[in-house]
Amino acid sequence: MTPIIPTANNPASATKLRFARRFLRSLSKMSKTRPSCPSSICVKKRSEGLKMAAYWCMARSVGSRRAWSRAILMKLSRGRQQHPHHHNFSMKRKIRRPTWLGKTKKKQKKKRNITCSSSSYDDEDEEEIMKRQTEKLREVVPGGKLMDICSLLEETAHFVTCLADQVHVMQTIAHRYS
Amino acid sequence: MSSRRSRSRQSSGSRNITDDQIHDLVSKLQQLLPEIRNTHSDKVSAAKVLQETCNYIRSLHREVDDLSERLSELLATTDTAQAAIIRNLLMQ
Repeated sequence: MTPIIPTANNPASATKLRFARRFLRSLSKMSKTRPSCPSSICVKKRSEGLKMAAYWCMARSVGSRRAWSRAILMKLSRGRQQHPHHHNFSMKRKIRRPTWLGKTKKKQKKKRNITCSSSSYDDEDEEEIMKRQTEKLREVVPGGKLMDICSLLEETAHFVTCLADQVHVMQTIAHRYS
Repeated sequence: MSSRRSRSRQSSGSRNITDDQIHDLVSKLQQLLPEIRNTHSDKVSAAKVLQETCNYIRSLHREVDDLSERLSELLATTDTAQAAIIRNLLMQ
């Protein structure tokens, strides 16, 4: 497993290191405040809390430089305001799950009703396909619905990099714990 | 977005600039995708890149779900002292 240490040539890893620090801090906070109980309900609640904490830590590490991180911070802080006592994001029922976390299957089915009547591969079909794919991308990228196509593609690139870093850090931590 | 497209259709010059920008951004995105990063950019359409990006983002979200579950189970059985040791190791 490659270590999470930034090099002078790779400034993007600074975000990864910041995320690792924040996430580890949240992990130790969670293990201190909640007594460890092996029951499946506790584990599930804690895993939801960990997941939200991971996204929160990543968004905080990036800061407000990016539209996607601002969108995440706004959505998660709205959830926190509804439940001020649960600092570790443990309440899941009433917090509306952000759409970019994946519950968009119904919406996607509606969008697919735009059928291409002609079977020939011409420019208009390509545009329709691009439009459809762009709409799908807007749904998965946080804050994507408000952006123009250029910003959307830039934000997506940065979002994908940070998400991959987040997964790598979490894998490293899980590997070291086990 | 549709208004920009109709504007760009009227003057082909400005449409080329917008298409070039989009092409550059799409090829930049393609480099980040593990499956199609080695394929030459001309052979992969922009729509395909966007589709692969959506799929990749969803798979990363699933990974985060699985890892959160794993970490939650590990937290149930691990010491907080051990967590502090691991944190120090990673900070060095």
